[in-house]
Amino acid sequence: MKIAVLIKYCPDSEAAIKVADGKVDTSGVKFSVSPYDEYAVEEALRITEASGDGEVVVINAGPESNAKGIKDELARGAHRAIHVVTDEQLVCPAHASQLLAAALKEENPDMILCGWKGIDYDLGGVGTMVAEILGIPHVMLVTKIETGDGKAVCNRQVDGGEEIIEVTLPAIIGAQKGLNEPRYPSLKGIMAAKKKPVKKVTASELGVDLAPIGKAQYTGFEAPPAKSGGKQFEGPESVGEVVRLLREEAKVI
Amino acid sequence: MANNILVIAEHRGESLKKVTLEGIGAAKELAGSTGGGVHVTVLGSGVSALADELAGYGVPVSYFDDPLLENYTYDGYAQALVPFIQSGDYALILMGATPTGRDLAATLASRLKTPVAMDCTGLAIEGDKVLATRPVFAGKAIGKFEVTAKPCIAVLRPNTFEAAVKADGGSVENVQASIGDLAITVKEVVQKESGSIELTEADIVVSGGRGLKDPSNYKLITDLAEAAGAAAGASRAIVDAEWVEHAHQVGQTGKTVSPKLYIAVGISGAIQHLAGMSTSKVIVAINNNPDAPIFKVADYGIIADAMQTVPLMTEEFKKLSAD
Repeated sequence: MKIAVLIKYCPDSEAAIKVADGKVDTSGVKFSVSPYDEYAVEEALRITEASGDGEVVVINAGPESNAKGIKDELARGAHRAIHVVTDEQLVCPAHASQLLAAALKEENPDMILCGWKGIDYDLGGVGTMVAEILGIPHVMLVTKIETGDGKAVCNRQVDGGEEIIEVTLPAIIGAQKGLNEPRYPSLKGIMAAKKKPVKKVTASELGVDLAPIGKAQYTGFEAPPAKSGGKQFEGPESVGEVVRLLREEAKVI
Repeated sequence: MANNILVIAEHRGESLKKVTLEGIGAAKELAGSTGGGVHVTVLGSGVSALADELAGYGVPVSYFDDPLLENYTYDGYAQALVPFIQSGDYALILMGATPTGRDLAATLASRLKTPVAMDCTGLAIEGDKVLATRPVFAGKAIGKFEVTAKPCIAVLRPNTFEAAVKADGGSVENVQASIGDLAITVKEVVQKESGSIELTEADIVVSGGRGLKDPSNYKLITDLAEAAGAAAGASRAIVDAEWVEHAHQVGQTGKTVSPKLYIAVGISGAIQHLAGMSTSKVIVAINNNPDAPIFKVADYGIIADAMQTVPLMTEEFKKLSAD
């Protein structure tokens, strides 16, 4: 089975994000592969390892500096990668979807995995949008996958429980936390990653136009409102006072 | 000129989700700026009673009733809604930022070739532009997102917009849809913990973290949650340690909640946890470490041992209910 995994390389979840002059400044910030995408890569590795054959191809669209993230996933065990090189990090999901879909069309994988959302823009749309461009089914927020007979049965997390969804492959499946525990790359894996093929392509080679679509855009960013003026109490016996304040001062109970 | 607002209702079984009423409330507020009307749609099998309930909010309701729509699927809903939306005159389409709503929104955005403002905490209309406010980078930045395309799809964070109140003037019509084979098959819908309050919809959330020291102490959290009529949440640390299931996790790789009151017990307040609860209106923290970062965001901080403090708080809430 050839499994393609879409990965995003973005600011690490621990990173402090600077907001200045209406812009998000990620210079000097530590980047890493988005955690949900790591569950996706891990699952692809497990599926190919269980069957004893197949390959895992990771695909990323973004600037040259994304090479580190791609290498991290090759170090974990992915066999090869496709890097759609752009000038800057992609913010427009339509552009990202078109680039990834074009790269996938050339690969024609049996199954496509991704994280259900990227932890930078928290959209959760690109997996779906790529599937819609390719005309294949999609299931997001998946915590378990079983494959067989050209189908995948997925547990999809929803409010209050889960749905068991069956799709015919190829399909795009978006990983949620709980799908698996991603492995750490071994030293051997890190060394091997240096020799694994990374095919570089450009948007124009894929026939995708990155000119602004002009229907929607971010016009600015602000820091979240800072909290101040909290009251502090000591000792368990202060609960009586706190609950009274919650009722009479904060008026939330 | 496109200026109507369509609210896509969400229901689980026979109950409307609270975020749908918040969507109708938001739509009514915004309709003033568009000069158009608020329409509501609900889809499913055997949903005429839900349609009647929605009409009780003073809005025209179009409902689709089809066995193929019995379980939500993005494909079934989109097959019904895309022609409906295209033949309507919509400036804005609203739904809730639930797993279903987000899934449907991304699908409709693709099929209608229109943008989506996902997980909005603010929404306004200025002339022919929709101005959405949405947290990004797990809430470390707030994005101002401007949409000029019509229709704009806006997905609303639960517990953020004011719910509609009952009103006269509503109406109901049954709409036909021609739905073909579905791209996915729902084999089963599994309800877990029926009767407990959904975290993302709760007015009050009580969460526990590593400071509870032992999995058996999570009972203190569930006892307090029950006394307070709250949902019970958890930090990533205790979910990873398998004290509770991931569905209870609040944070960057868990759920985002925005309740009136968030009580954080034995939680240090790491950036990733704050990402999931920092828009709570009032935050109470109980932690025996005075340097815990959670105290920087708490409106009321109690420096004390959680195991002694939480049972006392449970008693206080029980006294309030008895009043």
